[in-house]
Amino acid sequence: MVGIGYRKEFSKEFLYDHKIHPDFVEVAPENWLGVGGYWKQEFKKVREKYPLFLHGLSLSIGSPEGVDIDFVKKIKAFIEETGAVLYSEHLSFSKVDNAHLYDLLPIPFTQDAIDRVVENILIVQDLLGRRLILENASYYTLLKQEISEPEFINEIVRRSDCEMLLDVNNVYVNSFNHHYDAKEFISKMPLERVKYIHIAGHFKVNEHLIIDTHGAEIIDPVYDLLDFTLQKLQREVPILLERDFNIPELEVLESEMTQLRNIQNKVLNPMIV
Amino acid sequence: MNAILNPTEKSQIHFGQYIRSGKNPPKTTVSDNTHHYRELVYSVIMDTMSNAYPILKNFLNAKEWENAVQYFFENHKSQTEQIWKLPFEFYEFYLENPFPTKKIIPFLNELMYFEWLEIEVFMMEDLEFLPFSEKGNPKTDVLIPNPEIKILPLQYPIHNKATKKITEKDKGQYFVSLHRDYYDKQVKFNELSLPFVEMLVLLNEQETTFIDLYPILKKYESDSEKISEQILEFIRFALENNLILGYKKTRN
Ligand SMILES: [Fe+2]
Repeated sequence: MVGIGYRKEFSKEFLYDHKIHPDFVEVAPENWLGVGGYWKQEFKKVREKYPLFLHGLSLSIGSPEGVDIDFVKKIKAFIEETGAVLYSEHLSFSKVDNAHLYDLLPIPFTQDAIDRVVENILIVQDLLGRRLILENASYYTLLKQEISEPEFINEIVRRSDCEMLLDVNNVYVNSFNHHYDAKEFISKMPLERVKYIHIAGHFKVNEHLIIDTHGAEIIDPVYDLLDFTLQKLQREVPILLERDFNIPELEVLESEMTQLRNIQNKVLNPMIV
Repeated sequence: MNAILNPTEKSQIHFGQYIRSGKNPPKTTVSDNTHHYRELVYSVIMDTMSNAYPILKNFLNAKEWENAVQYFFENHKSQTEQIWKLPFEFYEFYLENPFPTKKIIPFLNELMYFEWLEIEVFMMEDLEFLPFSEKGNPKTDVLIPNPEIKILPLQYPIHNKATKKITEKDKGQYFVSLHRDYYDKQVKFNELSLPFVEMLVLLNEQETTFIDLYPILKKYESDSEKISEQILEFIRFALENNLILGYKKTRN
């Protein structure tokens, strides 16, 4: 299965022009919660056509002040109301000092942070009555680092019993920015826990820095990393193409999705291809 | 939160304060990259406010606009999880706090509220629509209003005059309605007279027919024929502009 992030920017073409054929769509619940009128109608049409995956932005699982219970309840109601297939979030924080910051900030890789994140995840999972699926974040710098990122992720997954959204572009971006081997990193992930994969393009600022913009086409090394990941997984996991800015003609996105399907087929059905 | 913070928590709070203020960056593992977070967040906030308040932004010069957004972001702790609702907090913040410009803007609050309402009316949850028929008798049938409407009283004509040209001479009493069109779901504006406002309010408060509107106009006009004409004119205008959806369905 290959899906795409549904964006208001291409809604009309998406719904009526049949230029693109995803197996599912993903949206951020924060953009649709409590929305009526025109967008409620469009969103309903989208849901009638495609299975819905949710990918949240504001849960802030790494918040030192804990998670917002009322917000989690709203998310739960939204999952039920929309019949979403799954709900995923980010292993990051976006709220601190009682203020939302509307960006995904990297959690320090420390033991104290792990303790806090695990506690937060357990509360959320208890309220939702399901496991959280958390995405490995991209980061440009860290506030503190006592342990490695794989250790950080593995301990959180093990102790909270949560699941994982593996964003292969984020792995690529981090491996470039922080000079490590992306494949080695993926090998260290709790792969049996991976329920969902993200892939996207990014923006290379200079020789030292890539910013994870979701604003460009996927580059070959990232396709290659997906291939490697699927070889390791040896099972079908839904893959999402993320494109949030600088949106091209839908045909371009369709051809990217075709390439993703080809990789998936090649790895999972090697005899057929 | 625990009274005693551990170093991880302290660093996260410091980071948040830096991102909001742009001042006193924390030490991080790649200090050259710390500023990217401040810039990424600030540009998201700036875009959100610029899209929500195009008239205010255009009225101010670039520096004043930047100051207004920065002062808000630094001194306000954003509460909504849904960033499209943040412009409402911007409006509320400047009801309570002095706007950081030298010039006094007498219509500031009403302009901000007017711009916010356009977003709110477009995005708000659906209200219940009573069943209605487009055909009916304006003189006898119950009129069914469009409930998805906000009526805004104004002291300055910000809705129809370029803000840079508004002076104290324009001060007066104006009413603007913003409603979500039943058919295309877009936001439409109407300038209304006070009697029209009173009639619309009544329609939204109780089942109303032609005759119920009579006492409202009686306050402004004594000639009963003229009153009838004005009520019919109101109904025609309200139907045409989708402020009234139609007539209550009568059972056959
Ligand atoms: Fe992602």
